[in-house]
Amino acid sequence: MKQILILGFFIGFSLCGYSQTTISGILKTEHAKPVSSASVTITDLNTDDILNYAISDGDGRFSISIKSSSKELQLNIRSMGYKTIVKSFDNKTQTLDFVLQEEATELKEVVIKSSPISRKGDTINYSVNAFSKQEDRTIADVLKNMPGIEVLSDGKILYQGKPINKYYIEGLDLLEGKYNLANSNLPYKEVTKVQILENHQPIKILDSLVYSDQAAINIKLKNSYTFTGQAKIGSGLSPLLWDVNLTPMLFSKKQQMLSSYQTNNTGNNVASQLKVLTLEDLLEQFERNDEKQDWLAIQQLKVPNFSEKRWLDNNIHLITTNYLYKLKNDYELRLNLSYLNDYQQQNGFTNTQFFTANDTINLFENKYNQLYTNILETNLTLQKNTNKNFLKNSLQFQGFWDSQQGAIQLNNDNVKQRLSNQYFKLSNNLKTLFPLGKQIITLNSYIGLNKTPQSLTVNPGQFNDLLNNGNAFDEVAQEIALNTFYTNNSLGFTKGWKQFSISPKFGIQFEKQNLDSKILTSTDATQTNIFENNLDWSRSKIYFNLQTQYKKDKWRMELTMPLNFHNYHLEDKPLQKEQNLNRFTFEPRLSLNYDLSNFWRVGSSASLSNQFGTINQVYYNYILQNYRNIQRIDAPLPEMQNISYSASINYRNPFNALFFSLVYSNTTTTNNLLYNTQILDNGATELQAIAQDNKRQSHNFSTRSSKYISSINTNLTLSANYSLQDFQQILNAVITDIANQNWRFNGKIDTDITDWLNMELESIFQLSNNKIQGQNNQNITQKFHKFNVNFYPKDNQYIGLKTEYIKNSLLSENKENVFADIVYRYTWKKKNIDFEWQWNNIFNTQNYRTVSIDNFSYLESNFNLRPTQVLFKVRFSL
Amino acid sequence: MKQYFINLLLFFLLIQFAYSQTNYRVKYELNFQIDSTNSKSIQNEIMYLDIKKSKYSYFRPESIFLKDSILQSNNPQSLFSINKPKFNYTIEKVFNNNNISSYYDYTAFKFKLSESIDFKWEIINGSTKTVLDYKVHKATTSFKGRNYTAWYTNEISIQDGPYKFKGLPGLILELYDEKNHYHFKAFSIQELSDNKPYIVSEEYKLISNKDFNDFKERVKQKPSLVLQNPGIQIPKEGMDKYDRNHRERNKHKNNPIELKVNNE
Repeated sequence: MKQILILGFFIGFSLCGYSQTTISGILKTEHAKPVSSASVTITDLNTDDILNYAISDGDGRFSISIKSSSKELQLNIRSMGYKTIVKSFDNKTQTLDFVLQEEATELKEVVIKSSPISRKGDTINYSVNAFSKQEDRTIADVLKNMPGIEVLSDGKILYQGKPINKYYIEGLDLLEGKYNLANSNLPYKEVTKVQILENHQPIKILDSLVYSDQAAINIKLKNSYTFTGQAKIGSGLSPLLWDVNLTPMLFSKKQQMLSSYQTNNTGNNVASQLKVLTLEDLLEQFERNDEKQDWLAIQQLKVPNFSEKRWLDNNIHLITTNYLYKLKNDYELRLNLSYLNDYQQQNGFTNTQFFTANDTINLFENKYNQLYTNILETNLTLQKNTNKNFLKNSLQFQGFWDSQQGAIQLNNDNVKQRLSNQYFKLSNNLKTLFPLGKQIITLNSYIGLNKTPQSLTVNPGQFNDLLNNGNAFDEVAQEIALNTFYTNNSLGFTKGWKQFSISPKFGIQFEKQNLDSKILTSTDATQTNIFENNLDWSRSKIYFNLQTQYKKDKWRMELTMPLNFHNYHLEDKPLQKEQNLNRFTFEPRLSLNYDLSNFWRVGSSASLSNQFGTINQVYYNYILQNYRNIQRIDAPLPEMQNISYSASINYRNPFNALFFSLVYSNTTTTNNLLYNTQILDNGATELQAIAQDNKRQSHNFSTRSSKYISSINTNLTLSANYSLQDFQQILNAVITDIANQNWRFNGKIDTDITDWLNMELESIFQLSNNKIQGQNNQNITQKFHKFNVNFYPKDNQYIGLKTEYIKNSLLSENKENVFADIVYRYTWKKKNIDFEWQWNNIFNTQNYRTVSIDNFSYLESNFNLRPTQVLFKVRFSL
Repeated sequence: MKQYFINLLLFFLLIQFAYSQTNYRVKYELNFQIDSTNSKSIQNEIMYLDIKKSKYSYFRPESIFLKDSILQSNNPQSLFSINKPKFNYTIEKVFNNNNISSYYDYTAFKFKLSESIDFKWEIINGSTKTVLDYKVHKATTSFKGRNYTAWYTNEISIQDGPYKFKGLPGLILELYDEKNHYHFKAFSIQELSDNKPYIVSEEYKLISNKDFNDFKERVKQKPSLVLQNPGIQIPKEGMDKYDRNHRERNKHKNNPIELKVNNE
């Protein structure tokens, strides 16, 4: 048989080309429907050797040409869902039609279990001793030697080429994304085992719902505890400067700690590190309205509108510590503690011009302010992360023991101000996720208590007419105490349905506040109760929010429809003043986007929203806010309604790298109150509110375009903004129309000259103008030019040159400022040490003068800057 | 008990019936050499070939599948738990004709390319082996500058395969080029209950091959171009860092699967 086959093969081969036959036909089902995508092969009889093949088309047709000398051939028809047909036929051109019988095709399901990457739920253990080499120092060095693990130069760890999603030490996640801190500082001799947890889903309740293909690493320690850390030390002149950052850490099986001590007087405001917030946190904070708020103030010096490192005269100490402790039953306890101490000094003068309907008043003040900050913050978090639920509860305390002193030279008089602006807050925030049917429900609950005891003392006494029957007096003091209770609770989930996604949320807010205030004078002559407030305030809100998203084709739509019920109650018992407000509000917001073509997209949105006043917008008796501002707001609660529209056009063409956008927005605010600002002869102001509906209109135009020109490796950006605000204000008992206009033009050129050299040039021109009753006041202009050069001579070296030129138009003259800085950084790779030299403010520019527009005044300020300074910094591991 | 047994039998019969219309997922392990000058620069990625009712198929990296399915689910935050795909394409093949659509997702830019490819396969009779318990046969072809060997099984009469390859009288279970720079090998064939395509093709702009090549050339010059998104402004330092990192990475990315623009 075999011999015959070989013979047949041989003959077929040698005679090939002698005859060509074509077999064609139609494949149909038993119901006479065409069978498409069937494999039709022609083979030698009883073999797998394909002579030619075809795939049936949409009509079930096939056509195959063959060159073969065999007398008889075999036709095979295979199609998913049909019985295979095998038929032998004579080797001559002919039409062969077939009816295919439906049949379940049983496909062998095969999975190779041992596929190296598809393994699931496994834990792999690596013994550190087996992989460590002599020159290795840290656990990062040893990880590099382990198969499947890579450590990138920035410290990121990859497992099987994919970044790990968690870095645990003894199963605890203290550092979250900053694991490099531990990884590159932890000596490998402290570690016994490295575990790889494959397919690790960090939020366990989502484990069954959301698949993860990433791995996590768990470090097993040898000893019960390990101590390590990192340090950065810098010093410079002049005056004597320091910049220190020490970060020790401790790890053990049950508890872990990472601390940091930072101190400097170089103008680096490390306090901003305490404010690490996600967007969600910021939105919640806006609702709660419980950030520290100062009711009283010393007269401020307006700070310059550029990098605070140029002007901040500080002396800061910051201690933070993060401590994590593992409890039973999957609970974790985390304590974050921070203490901040800062002493800042501000020196300069301001020249204020107040406009009134028929006059302008000039005020010249020389200021020296000293600001003392003392903040303690603690946050105790309990977290449970299991398959059944996720729970996170944070108990937080904040204490501000702040005080300020201000000395003002006003013409020939001296004014001294002493402020104690303290604030205390205790709050609890609970967040939990739990499944209900197929949904995962999110529950949020917040409770907060806060206290604002503040006082301001001014020497000599001010507002003689009001406070002391027109006679001069020695001292005036304002005392204030505000106590607040606030709670917000909500329940929500998200559900998808066809092109819609719907997220309903239901919640209740409640706030209770009590304000006590009192003005005391050294003469004690005016002890009537018109200088005391004793206000009780309560506010509640019940809300239901339905958020709907819709996506189809080129349309995107989002509609939010919050329904709110507000209740306000205010009462000052001694004054027998009371007001009540109930409002039902519907605040829809709609946004629509549509793709016009490949490159053009248009969008628009419309919204209606309501705002109500807060306790610092209604009080019946006078409060001395600063030495020249005393006010009472004996008025109904402010109610504002905003109607906003916006429209935008976008063009994005990535092929020629041209981008363009144009945005217009318009907001109309209807306000139920007008404020009457009375400017007294001594420059003091008095504010009262009058119930009268009024409107504030604002328009905003902005456009931006950019183009990348590849022939010169340059990116060009141009942008322009225009804004106009129209509103009314009462100035010295006259209702006045005010219009503020702002223009801003910006041009920017970025050029990559080579791989190791790039340049950036930016110019900004700004113009502001203020119009009162149709009369133009002086224009204010600012020109700003920036030129930066970044130079990377080698991988481990960086030189940066930064220059800035600012020209401001002042009330009577123009002022130019020039700044230049140089930075050089060198990394000693072997020891992982960074060196950095900085020379800031090379031209030793001493002060900075600007002008700004207020609703009814121009303010020219002069701020003393930091002098030229040289700094040297080193960063290394402990 | 008997009733139960009959029910079970009925159930299986139903399943069998449904089988003819079933969707399948073939998983391939792709090993590829990212740098043609460095034979150690082998990376891998799991690729899914989702075959829908014998009519059309989608071929894409597992991570793109995960990303797209997460984006359309109720838990977009879990996006952070998946890694970045090494390829950003999804290839759609319709079985009735030669049209192949490729969807490229650059996050801020989404492109669709359309081409018609008629693979000229040469069947090599006499060579067989076993892949995934299936007997496979050898065939060769050339495509855009590389010569390929494919191993297909006529036991599965779906004329599809990894990447853009199709048109053999059975499913391709293994495919590699002669330099072994791209090597696809199936490691799993499973029935697929979920048949959502997960690709919102309306989001993708149809562009020409030339435009697409221009775009890729520009992104090579200025990688931060792909970050150009209205409403998001990234500071100069961030853009610079992105450019530097990506230019460095691109130095070692010199070995695309399609070496030539046209199939000669």
